[in-house]
Amino acid sequence: MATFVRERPAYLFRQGRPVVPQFEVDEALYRRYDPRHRQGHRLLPAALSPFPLSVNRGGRFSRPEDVLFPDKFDWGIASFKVKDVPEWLAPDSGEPDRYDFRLRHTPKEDNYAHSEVCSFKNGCFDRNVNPQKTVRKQFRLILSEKIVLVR
Amino acid sequence: MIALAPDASFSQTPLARRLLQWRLSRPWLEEFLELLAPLPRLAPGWDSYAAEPPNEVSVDRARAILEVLDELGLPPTCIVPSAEGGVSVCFVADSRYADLECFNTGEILAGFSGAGEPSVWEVAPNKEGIGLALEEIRGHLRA
Repeated sequence: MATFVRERPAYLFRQGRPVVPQFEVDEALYRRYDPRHRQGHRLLPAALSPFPLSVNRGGRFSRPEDVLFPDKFDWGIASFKVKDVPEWLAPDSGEPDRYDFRLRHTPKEDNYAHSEVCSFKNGCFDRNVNPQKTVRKQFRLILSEKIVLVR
Repeated sequence: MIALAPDASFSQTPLARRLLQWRLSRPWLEEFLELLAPLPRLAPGWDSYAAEPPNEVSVDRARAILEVLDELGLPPTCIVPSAEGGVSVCFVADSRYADLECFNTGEILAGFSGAGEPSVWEVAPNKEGIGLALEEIRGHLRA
């Protein structure tokens, strides 16, 4: 039986291109999802993993379907805009910590569009430090309300 | 098989109403229990990122939630593995959303959205705590 392998488009490879740290507020971001996490037109918050949250930036960087490489071509594609990401959240518990959320362009050799939604605790980024579960859950509830399913 | 004559007075008793509710509620309960059972066998990274599979602790918590839901006659919309590591029991009613998320650590968080600011709170992992959270959720979905 013949196996059909989709080739990653040439434009997705980094090929020495620089990091582009600026994001436009209306810039589209894409992320693949397990079809179990679709409920009607809604992406369930359970689809969103802890920080940093991997996405592809759209526009001149990639097309929505590029998030499906290398082997998830039957999965869904979710989209949101940079301005949909909450600016910051603080725990309800009264702790003084504040978590800011920002986009970082983090290209991979085979995916120039790769980016991450990162959390900054009191202004400092550490990829091993995640906000507490209640803050993460609030973030996921807010973002999932904004997400549009491309397919 | 013993045939019982219809008894109008029995059908009005709380026991009869409860038995009827039990019979009506079984199909969805069984369906969701069947969905839960294989979740701990998901592979690490099942979401294609780095999610842990649900473990027996989170599945047991979700099972306890289903038992309370059965008593309340409130079926969830769906049950899914969570990319946070655990199981989410989800409710969707038009533009309103709510869930009870059972983590592999044993914690349960409730949350809802779709009307103003989203709300998130910790739930005591016992029947009373789960029941209180579900009443909140039911109020949110009906509002």
